[in-house]
Amino acid sequence: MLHPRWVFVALVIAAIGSSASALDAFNRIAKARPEALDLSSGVSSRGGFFSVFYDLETECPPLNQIHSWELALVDREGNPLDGADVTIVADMPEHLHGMTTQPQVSDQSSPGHFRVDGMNFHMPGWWVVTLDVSRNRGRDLAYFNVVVGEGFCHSQ
Amino acid sequence: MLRVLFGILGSAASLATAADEVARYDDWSERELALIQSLSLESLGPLPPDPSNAYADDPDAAALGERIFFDPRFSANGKVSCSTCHRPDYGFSDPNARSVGIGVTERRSMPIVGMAYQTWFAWDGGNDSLWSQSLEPFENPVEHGFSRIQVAQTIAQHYGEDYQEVFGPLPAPDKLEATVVGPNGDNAHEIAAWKDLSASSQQQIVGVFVNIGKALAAYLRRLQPERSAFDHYAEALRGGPKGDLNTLTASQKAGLRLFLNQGSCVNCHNGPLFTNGEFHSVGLLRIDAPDQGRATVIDTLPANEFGFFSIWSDADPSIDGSHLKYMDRRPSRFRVSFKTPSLRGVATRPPYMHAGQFSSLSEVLSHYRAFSGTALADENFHADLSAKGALQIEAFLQSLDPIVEP
Repeated sequence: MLHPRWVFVALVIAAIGSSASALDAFNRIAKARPEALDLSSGVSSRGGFFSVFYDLETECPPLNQIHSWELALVDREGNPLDGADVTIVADMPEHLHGMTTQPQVSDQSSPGHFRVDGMNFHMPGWWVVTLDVSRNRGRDLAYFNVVVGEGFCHSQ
Repeated sequence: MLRVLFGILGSAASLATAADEVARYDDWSERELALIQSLSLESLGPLPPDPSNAYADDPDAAALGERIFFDPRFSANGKVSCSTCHRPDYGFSDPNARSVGIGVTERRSMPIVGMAYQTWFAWDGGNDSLWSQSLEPFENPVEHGFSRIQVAQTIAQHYGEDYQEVFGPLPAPDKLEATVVGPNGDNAHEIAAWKDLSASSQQQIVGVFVNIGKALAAYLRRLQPERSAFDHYAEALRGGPKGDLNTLTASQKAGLRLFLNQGSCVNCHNGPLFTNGEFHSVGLLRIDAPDQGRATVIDTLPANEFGFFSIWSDADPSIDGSHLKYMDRRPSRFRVSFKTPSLRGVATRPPYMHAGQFSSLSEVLSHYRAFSGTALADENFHADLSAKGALQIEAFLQSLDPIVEP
C-alpha cells in the first residue's frame, strides 16, 4: 500500500512533467503596454556604460517594411564606442514574439557608427528594440521603445 | 467564466441604438485613425517594381500571360488551367476546401489579387517571386500534371508568334520533339531521359518555361484590389470627396473598432491588403495530416531552382531581395505557420484557412474565440470577444467586398 505522501509526491511530479510548456512560458509573460512610453531615439544602456542614438530614413519606423537603422554609440565620456560587437533584436512584449527577420549589423567608416539592415516590424503597436553590445570583456544592453503604425512615434 | 459574464453584460449595455450612439461610432482616437488609413486602398501606392522579372511591366508579356492563365491546354488532361482554381468570379480563389486539378491538392487555392505587393507566395511562402510561384503548379502532379517541356511544346504549337515577339526566338523544333517529361518526371525512366538531353537543350527548354512564368507574373501583378465600402468610409474620415460616413453600418463600425482593438485582428491583417504577408500559427494543427506549413520550406528555399537569386532571376543580389537576405531561417519559429491571407473580398469566397477547415466566417471567429490565450497558438490574442463582438467583426468583414463604382 502506497503511503498517501508518496502518492502526493508522484502527482506533483506528474503535474510538473505535464506542464512543461507552462514552465517554458514562465519567463515569457506578456507585459501590458504602459500608459506612457519613453519613445526617445537616444537612450543610456542599462549598466550606464554607453549611450546610443538611432536614425531612420523616415520620420517613424515603417509598418511591415524591411528597412535600415543607423546607430551611433558613445561611451560614458562621450567618445565614439569603437570596435564594439553589436547585435539587435526587437520584440513585442504584449505578444511574446519578435521580428520575422534577422537583422545584420555592420560597422560604418566613422567611429562608433553602425548600420542595421533587415529591420521589419510586421505588426502595429509597441515594440522593444534591444541592443546587445560587447567590447573587450564588457557587455551591456540598451532598450528603445518603438510604436509602429499608430500615427506617432515620438514621446508625447 | 467571469470574462464571458462581463462580455454578455457589456454587450447588453451597448445595445442602445440612438442616433448619437451611431455618431459616437465615428469618433476615433489618433491611433485608430492612423490604422484605418493604413488599411485603406489609398495607402497601397503604385505597383512596386519586380527586379527579378525583366518582363514584369511589359504589356505584351502580360497579354500573353493572361491568355495562358485561362488556357486548359497546359495540363495533362487538357482541362485544368490556372483559372480552374483561381476563378475571377470567385475572388481568384475557388469554393473547394482543397483545390482540385488533376487530383486533389493538400491546400486551398489562395486568392491572388494584389500579389504585386507581396514578397512570399503560397500558404507556406515556398516561392520568393511571383514568376517562380506561377511555374510550380504546372509540374505538380495533382495540379496541372504537366512538365516544362510540355509547356514549351504547347507554346510553340499555339503561341509561337506571340511568344517570339516578346521573348525572341523559340528553341529549334527538334529541341522540342523529345518525349521526355522533365527532371520532375513520374519515374526513373523519365528522369533519366531528361538527363540524357544536352545541357544546352535543357537550358533552352527551361528558358521558355521561365519566360512563361514571367509572362504569367506580368499579368497577375496587374490584378489590383477593388474599392470597398470600407475604403469609402476611410476616405470620409480624411475628408475626401468620395467619402461617405454612412457606407458602414453601426454594427460594421463596432466590428472595425474590435478589429483594431480587443480583437487584435489588425496585428496580422494590416496594411491596405489586410495582410502583413508573414507566417503565423493559428492553432490549426491536424493530427491526421500534420501540415507544418512554413517550417518545411525554410531549409529548401535557398535551393529553389527558380529562386529570387537563381540564374533564371533578373534580380541583382547586391541590391535586391531583402526579404530573402534577412529572413529568419529558424524552422522552429514557423511550425504550423501559414501566410496571413488578405481579407479584401473575404466574405464572398468561403471556405477559409489553408485547407478550407471552416465553411463560414462565423466558424473562423468561433475558432479564434475558442483557442485564444491557450498554448495552442500563443501568438494569438483574440480574447474576450463576445458572441456579439464576433458578429460585429463578421459584419465589418463584409464591408471589404468590392463595390461597383457609381
